Amino acid sequence: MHGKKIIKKMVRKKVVRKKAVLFTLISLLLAAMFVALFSAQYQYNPDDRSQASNTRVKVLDTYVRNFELYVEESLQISGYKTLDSLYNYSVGRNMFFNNSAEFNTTFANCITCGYMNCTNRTVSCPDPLKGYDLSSMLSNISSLANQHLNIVTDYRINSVVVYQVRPFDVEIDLNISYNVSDIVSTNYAIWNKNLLIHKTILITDLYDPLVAINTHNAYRKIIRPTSICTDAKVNDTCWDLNKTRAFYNSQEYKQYTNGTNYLARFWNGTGPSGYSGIESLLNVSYMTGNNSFVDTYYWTRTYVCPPGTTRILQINSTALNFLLDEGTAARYNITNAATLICPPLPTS
Amino acid sequence: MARRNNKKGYFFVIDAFIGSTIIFVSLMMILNSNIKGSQLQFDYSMAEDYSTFIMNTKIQDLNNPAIANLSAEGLITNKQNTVMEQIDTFYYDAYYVCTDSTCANESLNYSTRLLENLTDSLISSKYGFSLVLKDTATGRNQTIYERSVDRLNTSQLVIASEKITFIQINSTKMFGPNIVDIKVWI
Repeated sequence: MHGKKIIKKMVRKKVVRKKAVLFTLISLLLAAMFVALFSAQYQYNPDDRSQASNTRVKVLDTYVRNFELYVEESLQISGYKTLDSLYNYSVGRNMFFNNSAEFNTTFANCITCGYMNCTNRTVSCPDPLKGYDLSSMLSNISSLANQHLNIVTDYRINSVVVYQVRPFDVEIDLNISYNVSDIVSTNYAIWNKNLLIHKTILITDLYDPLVAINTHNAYRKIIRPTSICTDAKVNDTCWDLNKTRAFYNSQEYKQYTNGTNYLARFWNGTGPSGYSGIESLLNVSYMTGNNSFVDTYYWTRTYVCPPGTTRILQINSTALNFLLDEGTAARYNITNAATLICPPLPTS
Repeated sequence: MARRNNKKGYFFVIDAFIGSTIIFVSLMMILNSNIKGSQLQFDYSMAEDYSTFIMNTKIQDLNNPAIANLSAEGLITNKQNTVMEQIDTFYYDAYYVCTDSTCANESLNYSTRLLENLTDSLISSKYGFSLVLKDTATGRNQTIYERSVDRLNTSQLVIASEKITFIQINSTKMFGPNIVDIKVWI
């Protein structure tokens, strides 16, 4: 009996002890669960190792943004130099392009690779394009990125389109595809993009091909927009004798809807170009005959006398022996200062 | 009997206390282990973040006395430029436009003034710093601004960031692409 009592006491004590460590056991279990849970999570958490990858992706991303900006700025510089180069090409052989299609193709080739034909690459486009075509300019940045940043840049120029909608601007649309990746591993990130870039080029300070080719490069006119009567583009009401004289002396250009625009002058276009049309008054030193000294009219002989009934007026107060057709003289409001020289008035 | 029950109560209180301590300690350990190592990450990203800042931030977006003074003196003409483009412009003026050394030195000083003012307010003085513009056309490496250079050789950590920089001067000219090398050390 005594022994049984002792056993019962021992059993009761054990139960009490077990109950006494119940919270401890539960907390240990919970702690173990927390550790297991957090350690599992820690493995997926971005850690120090991924920091290097993040930085590398940032470098690539910044480069891509820079590359796109560089393409835009290169397009502007390259476009301007290509127009200058094609002027030198036309003047050098003293020939206009046959038509707009030929000009557009040559422009696209020159700006893309610096050659008249990007496939056979035999004839290079004249200066000042050397080293400034898009391929040359883009290879500068891609080789620099390769050497210093360990970035590979592959690009392909899909198309270049040139056109004009404003009198003193040329518009260029570029379609380019590029691929940017890390030189060591392509695991970080790859940029594979097709980009459409539109850029407007100011044609100020470029030469007029119409005047140069028609005079065998004896008379070179630089295209600069006039500041005279710029608000009166449509009806020309602000013009008078003094302003016409100043416009003639400056040898600048004005917007004129019936005039031929800059690009069309490369293929001897003489028709009206609408809003993008321009006109200038030619210097009498280079001109002869009873012809209107408005640039596009002079070589088309639209207003020449004789033959026909075209009335040519002489305005010596603008410049000695300066001639204009009657319609243009009326537009510049200088008819009163003009003398009719052709056709001759009948003698009484 | 009552005395016996009271004694049992102590066991439970002590048990609960030990249990809560275990949970508290384990949670503290877990949470502390998750915050570690941020200092090194900060050092690594600082050079990169700083170079991104000067490459992308436009002058007009900064309210800084040095920029205000340079603008008032007529030395910053295009506030659309980023900080790096403005540094490029000063460098271009110094080596490609200026015809005498006085003009060149002044132009370089403007770029140093601009960069010094921005850097000192952004990067703690415990870090050394240098920005070098590498002109690819001439091969010249021009230090625009540097500080604590004496600590560079003995530094524990040097973080460098290289970027490509360029600026369009006019319709026919571009300066660059060049390399800008930014170093931060501690």
